[in-house]
Amino acid sequence: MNEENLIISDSHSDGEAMPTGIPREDAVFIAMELGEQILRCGGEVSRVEDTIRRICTAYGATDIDVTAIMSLIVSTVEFDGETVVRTRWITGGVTNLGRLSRLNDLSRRICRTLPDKAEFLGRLYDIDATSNISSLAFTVGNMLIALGFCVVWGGDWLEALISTLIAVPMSIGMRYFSGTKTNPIVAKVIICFFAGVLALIAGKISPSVSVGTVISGDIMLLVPGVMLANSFRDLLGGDLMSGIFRLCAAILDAVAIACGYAVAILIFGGVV
Amino acid sequence: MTDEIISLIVMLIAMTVGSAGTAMVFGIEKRVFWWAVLCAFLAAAGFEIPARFFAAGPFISALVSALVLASYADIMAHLLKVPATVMIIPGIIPAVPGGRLYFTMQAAVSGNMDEFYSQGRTVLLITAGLAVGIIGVTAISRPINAYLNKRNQKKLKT
Repeated sequence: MNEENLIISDSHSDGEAMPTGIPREDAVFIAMELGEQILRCGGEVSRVEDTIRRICTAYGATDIDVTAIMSLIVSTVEFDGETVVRTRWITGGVTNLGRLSRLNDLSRRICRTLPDKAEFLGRLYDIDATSNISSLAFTVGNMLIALGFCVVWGGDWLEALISTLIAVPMSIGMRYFSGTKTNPIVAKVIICFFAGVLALIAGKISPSVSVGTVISGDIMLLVPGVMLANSFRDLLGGDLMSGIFRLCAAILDAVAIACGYAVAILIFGGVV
Repeated sequence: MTDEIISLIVMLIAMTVGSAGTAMVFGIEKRVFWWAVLCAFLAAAGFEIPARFFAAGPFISALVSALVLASYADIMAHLLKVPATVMIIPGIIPAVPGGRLYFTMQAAVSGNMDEFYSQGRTVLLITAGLAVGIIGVTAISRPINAYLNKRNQKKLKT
């Protein structure tokens, strides 16, 4: 979902081509689209700004002002007296590091070859087609996270096994909710609630199993640790807006996870 | 001492397995997968060794881990031509206080304020250590990268 506003100031005709043969709006569109895609798949705000700056410069822009935060990119690009202003409102997005690498390659290629809009969209389509994370890889990855971190938090082999098995329905839930319009906070509460219930059932079946240790492995699937570290990185780096946004999002996520498990324990703690 | 070393090895392996899972969940490319896993192993060692053998606090442990992580990520990003973030995200997982953030919030939700303050303080110290370490390395590597890029461009022109 994005909204774009295009303002062309001064008397030049819309879509006037530059010496490269590419219309100016198309050049800015390419830069903004790539910036948006990088932000959506987990790229840093500074990388988004740098990418837009480099691409616009390659297409002949004489002055570029670009600002990005987690959910917004604003750019003002000047081409010999003509100014193109664009904004993009960004919601959603899933961290995909493979896609991020490919988009980074595409950015370098654009600066070298200056493709037109159609060619750029074709390349973007190719990246989309080859960058999907399979359900199997997603589930196995989550099982490894639960296994590893259950051991880190002091779990024995049985607790690690249970934690790993609970990661499977959690992965299915995460995939399901990412494809719906459900509020991400609500989705996290629901997933953690059911994971908590499963951990409590395991604790009832085998009293030697510590429910807290099992849960500690499974929470690592959802905890916003990277977001928390990035928020401090942004704050200390002077990117205050982005840092505050990330910090708020990380704290809200952690509260949602804690609430999901707490509700499961409150309702079923003494019953299951 | 032997027990401590065995415990350290188990911990490092467990953290690395968890980070490998993170790399898979985030769809990292096959060509960089094992480099990212190695990054996580080094970052985990950077966090655990100072804490276990030098009685370092959470801030110093996180700082050492971040210095190791960010240096490795910057070098590998340059060699493999990928964004440093691709290495940093799976690599930072062992040190990142996500679990502790959850325990902090859990303490808040259950009204255990002593635990809330204790866990919250550790979360803040670790997060600050990680951020300072990564920013420190970035501050040094940015001018070096800029110099290398300029040199490469000059080479291409001649």
